[in-house]
Amino acid sequence: MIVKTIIQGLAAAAVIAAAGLAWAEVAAPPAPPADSATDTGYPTAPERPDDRQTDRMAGGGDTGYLPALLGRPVHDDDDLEERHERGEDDDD
Amino acid sequence: MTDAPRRRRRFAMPAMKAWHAVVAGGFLVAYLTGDSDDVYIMHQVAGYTVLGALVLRLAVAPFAHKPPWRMPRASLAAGREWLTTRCGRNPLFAWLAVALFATVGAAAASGMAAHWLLWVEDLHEALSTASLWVVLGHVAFILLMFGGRRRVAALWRRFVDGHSTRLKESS
Repeated sequence: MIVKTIIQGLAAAAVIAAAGLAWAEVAAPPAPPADSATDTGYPTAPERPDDRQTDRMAGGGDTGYLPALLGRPVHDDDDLEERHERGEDDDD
Repeated sequence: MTDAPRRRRRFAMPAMKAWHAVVAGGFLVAYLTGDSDDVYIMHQVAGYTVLGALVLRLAVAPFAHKPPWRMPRASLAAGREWLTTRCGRNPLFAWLAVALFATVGAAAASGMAAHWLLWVEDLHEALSTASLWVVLGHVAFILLMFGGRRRVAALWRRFVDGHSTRLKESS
């Protein structure tokens, strides 16, 4: 009888703890939007490809974008034809 | 006899066991999560569960004329009579139940008050510690009454027999 009572109490404790966790999830504030990450001070890569190209051509700082780090040309496919006509396309 | 009272009696003990499990489990979770801010909501849920269970028991008690849902009746006169006659139920059952209601209820109620009145936090902590001791006393008493008496009696007999044997040998 004592063992059964202990098991019942532990089962109730588990249910109550689970209910507490679920309530904490429901009551938790929503996660902050992704833009607020720029305030952390960590350098982030530009979101749009145009930004990446502008940074590279302007000799901007390291954006962390891998092709730029490897020294490979960073081109947007949308502008490929135009650059080819101008003779700027030096892809491998 | 009609079926309704018989049905009520049949479910009275299982319902009391479920109620006891809720109070015991809720107290355990509330005590273990009391010192951490990370699981404060879990502490709150457990505390309010215990408080709600105690209020429910107090609400049902006036309508219950028989145990187990009737409130425990602790009286000094009954305790004195039991000490002389050793007949009937041990009065510590009722006294410990009253002590549990008082301490655990006060701890739960002060916890609810501490959510809005910060100065009540220390009182809540003190009452929780006191209620833990009462709970441990209750557990020890139950273990003794329902499993330990024979073992304690056997140990006592072994001690007494061994002592008397040594006395005989030395004389």
